[in-house]
Amino acid sequence: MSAIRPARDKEREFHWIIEPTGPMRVPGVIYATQSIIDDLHGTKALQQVVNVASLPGILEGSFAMPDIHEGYGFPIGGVAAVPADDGYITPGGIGYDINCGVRVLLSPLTEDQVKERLERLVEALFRKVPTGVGKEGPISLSQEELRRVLVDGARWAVKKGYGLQEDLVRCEEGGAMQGADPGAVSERAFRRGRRGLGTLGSGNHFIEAGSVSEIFDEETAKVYGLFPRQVVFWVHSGSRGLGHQVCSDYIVTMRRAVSKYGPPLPDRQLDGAPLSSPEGRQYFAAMAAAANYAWANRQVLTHYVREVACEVFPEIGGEENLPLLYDVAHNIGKMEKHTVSGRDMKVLVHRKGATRSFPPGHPDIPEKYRKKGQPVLVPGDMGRASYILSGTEEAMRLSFGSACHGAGRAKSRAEAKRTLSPEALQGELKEKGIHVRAASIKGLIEEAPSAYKDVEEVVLATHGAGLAKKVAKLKPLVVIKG
Amino acid sequence: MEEGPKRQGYEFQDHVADVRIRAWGNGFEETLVAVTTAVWSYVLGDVSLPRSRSWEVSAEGHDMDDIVVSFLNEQIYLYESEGLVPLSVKDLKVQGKDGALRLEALFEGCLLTEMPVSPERQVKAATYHGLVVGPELIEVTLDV
Repeated sequence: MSAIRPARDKEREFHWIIEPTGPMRVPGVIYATQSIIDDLHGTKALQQVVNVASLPGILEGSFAMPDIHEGYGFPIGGVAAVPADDGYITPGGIGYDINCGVRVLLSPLTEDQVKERLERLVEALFRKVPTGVGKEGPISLSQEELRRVLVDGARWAVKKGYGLQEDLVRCEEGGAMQGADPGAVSERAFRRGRRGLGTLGSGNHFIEAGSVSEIFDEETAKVYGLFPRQVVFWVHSGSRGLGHQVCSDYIVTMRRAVSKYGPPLPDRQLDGAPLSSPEGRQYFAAMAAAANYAWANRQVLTHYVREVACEVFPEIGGEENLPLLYDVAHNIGKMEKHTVSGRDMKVLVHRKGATRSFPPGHPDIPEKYRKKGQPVLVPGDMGRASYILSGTEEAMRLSFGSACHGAGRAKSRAEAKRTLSPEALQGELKEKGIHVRAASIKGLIEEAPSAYKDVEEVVLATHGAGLAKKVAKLKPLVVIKG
Repeated sequence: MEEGPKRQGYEFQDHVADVRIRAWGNGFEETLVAVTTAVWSYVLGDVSLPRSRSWEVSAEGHDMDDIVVSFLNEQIYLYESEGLVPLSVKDLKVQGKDGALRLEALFEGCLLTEMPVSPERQVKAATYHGLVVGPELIEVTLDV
C-alpha cells in the first residue's frame, strides 16, 4: 500500500505535488481531480511517480497525466524529460509496445446516413483486419524490406500503396522518426516483425467508428474538419512483437549497463543509460526503428479501414474522402526543444501512456493546424465516449507539451471478469446501439467500459489543468477488438 | 500442462494494467515450472491440444531474477517467432553460479497452426516489476 499523499497546489486547480525527499531529484506533479487522486491510494502508481523522480538528469518534475495508473517502471500516464546530451534514457519510460498510438480518419458521412449499415460495417472490418492473438498479417517482409520499414515508417507503407501522401504530414514526425537504425534491432526482433504489419493485436487495441456528439470549440473543430454527427474512424495499435522484443532486449542491456553509470535506481524496470553512452545511443536508435514500424502498421490498418468503409458506404466516393485528422504516439521517447528554467534546451521526453500536446504556432505540427494547436486524440472506452482536444501553450510549461492518452484503467483484468458477465456486457452495448466484434470474449470482458476510469473525469482534469483544450466529444458506434 | 506435486501451484493476482502471477513449489525448479504453467494457462485458456513435438529452451542470466525473466521471455519469443506452443516442461535445470547462470529445460507441445481455436490472450513480456524470486515462491508481472 502506498502511504504517499500528494498535496493539492493551493494556487492551481487540478495540480497535486509530491515534494522531493530521499533520492528524488525533482518533485512529482500529478494533474488530476480529487476523485482521481482518491482512487490512486492503495495502488503503486504514486510510488512510481516518486521512483521516476530519481532518474539521473530528470528536469523539472516527474509528471503524471490525469489518466495515471499503475504500470511498471513509469506509471502509465508518466512523462519525464532529460537533457538530450547526457540525461538517462530508460526503456521503462517508453514501454514494451513502442509507439502504441492512435489516429483518427474523418468521413464526409453523418451518423444518420450510416446507422442502418453498422452491422455490415462491423462484420466487414472484422473480416478484413487480422485481430487477436497469433494472427499473422497478409504482408510478409523480407529482411531487406523490413529494414526499409524500420527507417521509413509510414512513408514505406504509402509508397507501397497503403494510403495517401497527405497522410504523412498528419502524423507526428511525418510518420518516420529520425535516428532509427535497423542495425540496433536484434535478429530476434526482426523475426517477430516479419508478419506483424497490418495486424491489430489484442488487449486494448481496437478499430472504432464513432460519431461527433458534441462540439465545444467550433472554430478549432472547423479547422480540424469536424462537424456535428460526423462519422470518424479510430485506429489504435502499436509496434506488435517487434517492439515488444526491442524493449525486452534493451531491458537486459540496461540491466548490465546501469551499474557502469551510476547508483542503482529504485525499480529495475527503470534501468537505463546516459544518452551519450553506447547503450543509450543504441537503445534510442532501436526504439526509433520500432516506432517507425508502428507508424507503418497503423498506416496499413488505415488502408484496410478505408477499403472497408468505401465498400460498405460507396457514397464516400474514394479513400481520398477519408482523410487522416492526425496520428499520435502514446509510448515513445522524443527529441524536442523546450524552455527549461528560461533556457532553450534540446531534451528527450519520455511519454509512457501520454500524448504530445503542442500549442498553436509550434513548427512541428502540420501547417493546417498551426493556428489552433495539435489535435490531441483521447480514446475513452468502448461504451461511453472519446474526445478530441487541442494542444496548448500551458502544456509546454506544465508537462513538456504532454496530455492524457485515454481514460486509463481503473480495474484489473481479473476484477473486470469477476464483476461482469459476457452476456451483461453484450446486453449493455446492444442497448446503447454499439456494434462490437472481438477475437476473444475474455479479452472483450477485460476491456469492458467499467474497467476504465470515466473519461469525463480525465478530460475535466486535462482541460482544467490547461494540458489541452476540449474541441469535440464522440460516441462509439462500431468497435472491433483483438 | 501436467499436474505437479501437491504443493505446487499458482494464482493470478490483481494488477490494474497487467497480470501478476504468484507461484509456489518444492524448490526453485518446481516453482518455475508452476510459473510457466500459469503463463500458458493464461495465454491458451482451457483447451485440449496435441503434444506433437518437443524442444529445448535455454536462458542465461547474472542472477536468479534474470533467469526467471529471460526464461519466460525466451518462451514468449519462441511462441511468437516459431509458433511453438508449450504444454509441459520437464528436466528443468539451473547450473553455474551468481554472475553466470544458465537454465535448460525440455518442452513438449504443438505448433500454433495445430490449435483448433485461437489463443485467448497475448503476453508481450515478463517484467522485473515487483519481481519476487525465492526457492519456493515466485511473483512475476507480465505485460499484456
